[in-house]
Amino acid sequence: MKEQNIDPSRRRFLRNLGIITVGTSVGACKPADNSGQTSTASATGTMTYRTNPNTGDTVSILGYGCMRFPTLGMANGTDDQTLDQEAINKLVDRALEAGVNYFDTSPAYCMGQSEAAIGTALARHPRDKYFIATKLSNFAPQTWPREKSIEMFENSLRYLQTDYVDYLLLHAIGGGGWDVVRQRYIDNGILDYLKDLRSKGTIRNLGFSFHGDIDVYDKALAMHDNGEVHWDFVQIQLNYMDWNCDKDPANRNVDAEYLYGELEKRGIPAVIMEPLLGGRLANVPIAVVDQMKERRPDASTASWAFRFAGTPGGILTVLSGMTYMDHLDDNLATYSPLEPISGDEDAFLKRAAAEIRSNNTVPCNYCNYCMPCPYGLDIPAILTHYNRCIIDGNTASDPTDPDYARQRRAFLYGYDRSVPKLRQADRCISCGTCSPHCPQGIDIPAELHKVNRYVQKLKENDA
Amino acid sequence: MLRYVRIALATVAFVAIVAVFVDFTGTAAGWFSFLPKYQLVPALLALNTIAILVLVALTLLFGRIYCSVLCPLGVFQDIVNRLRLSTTPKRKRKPGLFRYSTEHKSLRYGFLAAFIMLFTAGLLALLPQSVAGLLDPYSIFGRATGQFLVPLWRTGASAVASSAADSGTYILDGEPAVSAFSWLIAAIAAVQLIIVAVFAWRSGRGYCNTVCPVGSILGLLSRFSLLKPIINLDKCNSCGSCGRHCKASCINTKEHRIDYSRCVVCMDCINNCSQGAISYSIRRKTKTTASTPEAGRRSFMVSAAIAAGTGIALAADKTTDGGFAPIKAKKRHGSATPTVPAGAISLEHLRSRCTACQLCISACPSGVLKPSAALSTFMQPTMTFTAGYCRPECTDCADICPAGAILPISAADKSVTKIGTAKVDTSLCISAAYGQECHACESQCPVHAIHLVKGDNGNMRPAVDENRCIGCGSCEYHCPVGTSGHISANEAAIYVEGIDKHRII
Repeated sequence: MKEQNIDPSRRRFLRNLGIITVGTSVGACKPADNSGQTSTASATGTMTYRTNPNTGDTVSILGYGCMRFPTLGMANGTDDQTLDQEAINKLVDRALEAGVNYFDTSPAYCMGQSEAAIGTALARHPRDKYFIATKLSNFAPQTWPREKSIEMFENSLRYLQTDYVDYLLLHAIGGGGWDVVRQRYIDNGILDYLKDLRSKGTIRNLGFSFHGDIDVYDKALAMHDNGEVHWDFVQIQLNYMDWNCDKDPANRNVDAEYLYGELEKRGIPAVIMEPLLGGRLANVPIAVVDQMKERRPDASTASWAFRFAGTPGGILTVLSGMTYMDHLDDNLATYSPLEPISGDEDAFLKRAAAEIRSNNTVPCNYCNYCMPCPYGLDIPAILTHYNRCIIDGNTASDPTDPDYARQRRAFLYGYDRSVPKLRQADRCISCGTCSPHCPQGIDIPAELHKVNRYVQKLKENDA
Repeated sequence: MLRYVRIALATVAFVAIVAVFVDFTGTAAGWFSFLPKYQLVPALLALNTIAILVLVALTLLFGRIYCSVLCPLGVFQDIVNRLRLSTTPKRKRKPGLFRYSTEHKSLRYGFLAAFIMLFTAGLLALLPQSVAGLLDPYSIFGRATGQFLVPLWRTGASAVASSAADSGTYILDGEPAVSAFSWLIAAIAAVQLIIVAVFAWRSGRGYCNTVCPVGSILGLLSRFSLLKPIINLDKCNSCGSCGRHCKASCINTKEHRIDYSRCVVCMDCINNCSQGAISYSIRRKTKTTASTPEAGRRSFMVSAAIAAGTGIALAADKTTDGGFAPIKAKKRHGSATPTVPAGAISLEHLRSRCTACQLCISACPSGVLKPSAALSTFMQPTMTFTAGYCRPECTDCADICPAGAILPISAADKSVTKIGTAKVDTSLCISAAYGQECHACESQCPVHAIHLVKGDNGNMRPAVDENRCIGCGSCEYHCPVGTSGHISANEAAIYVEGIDKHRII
């Protein structure tokens, strides 16, 4: 949701430095080739489509993620968090017109307003022109009892103004381990209830989305293997950062190559989330931007991430939470049609990933799952500002650095501007409410304290 | 010519002193912080010998040039006069708007005597020095500037910095602290300013020559000044123009006498004499001029409530994503003893030296210093930790205080100077009373004086090592109680209780 501008003067400067890279291709990590791909004409060109082997659904490779919808505050410059229905209608109309037919929402998104908003927007179009995906987002323990979870699903149908859901997901299993999955879906009979709805046609495809503990992923797929449940699709996080070639054990939980490989093995179509890591891959170090622009001067930084995520053939759709019309247009251009990542480009992205990883940003995707912080902190804004300053190189810590004064001002003033004083990192009380909600597994209080220590150091050391 | 020199000097001094007040970045203070120190009353309080000697010498040499150049309230009156002139038709303005009046001796020296009594009572700590400060021209000016100009400037600067930042240029290193506007002080400042402005509009420097104790003190010296405007009777055609242009109303044109105790050497008479009969020169012991006093006009003329609210609803399990939890403005927790900045040495020292000019309050980058509403420390700075805390590395208030009420202190000394002790109100603490895990005070304490220990009820509670705690207020500022919307209490659960004498620990 944050702007992704890069200071043009810096961009020019770095381009003038003339960054030269020598490419050597490493074939082992190349995503699988495209297969089973069809195309349909659309307003912008020809959108690429994929076929769901279970139902035969022809799904657009670009899926609309309904987690980052525009708010009224964005239009009128206030902090009004109410969704801007008019803007959403326009976005949805444009998406449908260009051939997008997959819309992914959840009862939890946008402070609980997302389902009603997308329901309202889609109800203006024929029901057979699009697929709706929503989730059973029973995170809070008080929603674990069977009747509470059923109530949540029935509310979803009501908000979405429909009597069936094309794709239903157990939402974000993995956090908290298998025990939590059992309490949310198995012990209370909810999984059986959902399977029953699938046989009745109220749910056309049943799947899950995964974040967190890899053992939970393996256990869920084992259920598929031993016939306890048939997963029609699975939603995973996949992008060129997480297509992990380093095989670092620390990254095992987000190793997209493994996650995708397990699905491909079983012929389960994959829905991709976080192809852009919440915008982080649209906001990469300037040296990486330059290399991308050298290869494709007119393609956006984000388009690289989307092309990467759409390249493997077993992928049904790639979700993008598009807030602005220009985001939508850019993605439509990227996917109409999709030009798969070549072997050489794949090797380039691997080097880019290494470069991005080396700059020590906090791996926050600004998904707002941690919010609201009960003590009023604006966690995503704090981490956004911190990451932004790291990417822009405004994190000098040595007062004798000739550029220290400028960087100090850029950091401190920008901090006050993007986060009100009473919502800044120093107000974290370490209650830990946020961390379990983070799909990226960030130890949020620790990161906030890190940011605060840096801020305090800057305040103490006026150049 | 001399008049223009006076105007130029006055403009520079006035702008500089206003800049010291309004410039929250400390740049102006770096250049011009000496100017407030050359104000007479603060210099007397600070026993600033050099400043006092310089002011006495200036007055003995040049007359009351202080009142025309250095005193910001004097220059303010000249600005009011200027406005009056510019709104007066030329036909009326040309012949001059003033006329000679005799000295209001009893009023003038009555005010001076009253000031000396209040000043002495302040030094003896019978009254806060700010009562005498009600008569100090610099403090009157400071209060008006602090209450009206400072908030205005910050709002403007904030807007400018924000638009500059939009284009990638950062001119500030943070949003300015919220200015210490107080209805009480603003009302007093407004009343005093209006009185001075009305005086200035109607009778030029009438205020300076009737009410102002600094004017009266300097008047005692300026009678003997070396240089002064002198009427050359050989050239004078007794047109009376000088008298009608004298804003101090001190030129008796009939008798060709100038009352040098009231003359503020503005040089307007010299400029308006068509005969060139007045010169600013060394007075000769002749009978051409004489100096006797005579003149004048008249004069002019407050609690903390502690609300206690308990009851905490801890945050419900979150069911949706995004949005903000509500936050609110914290109220100062009541304390028996006020907290004052390191450098003030003791409550008594600050109370007896501070004329409540509000300069430290304007200079505080953390928004900690606020004018007191209590009668015993009337309008003097007191510390509140609701919008920020007293950062150990900051010595801005001590650097800037012209009256020696807050004495200079090094950052190293300040960081170990105890000005208060944090006290825990366990009935409000979300950890102690409700078992909510919270490390706010503990983790933000710059001297690591706070540790969570197990309380009687098994919950962790903050315990303060009173020998390490310096009273900076970081804990009170960072305590979520009072700020978090879901907690009903309005004050922090940990707060600073002042101590009457500061000490290094």
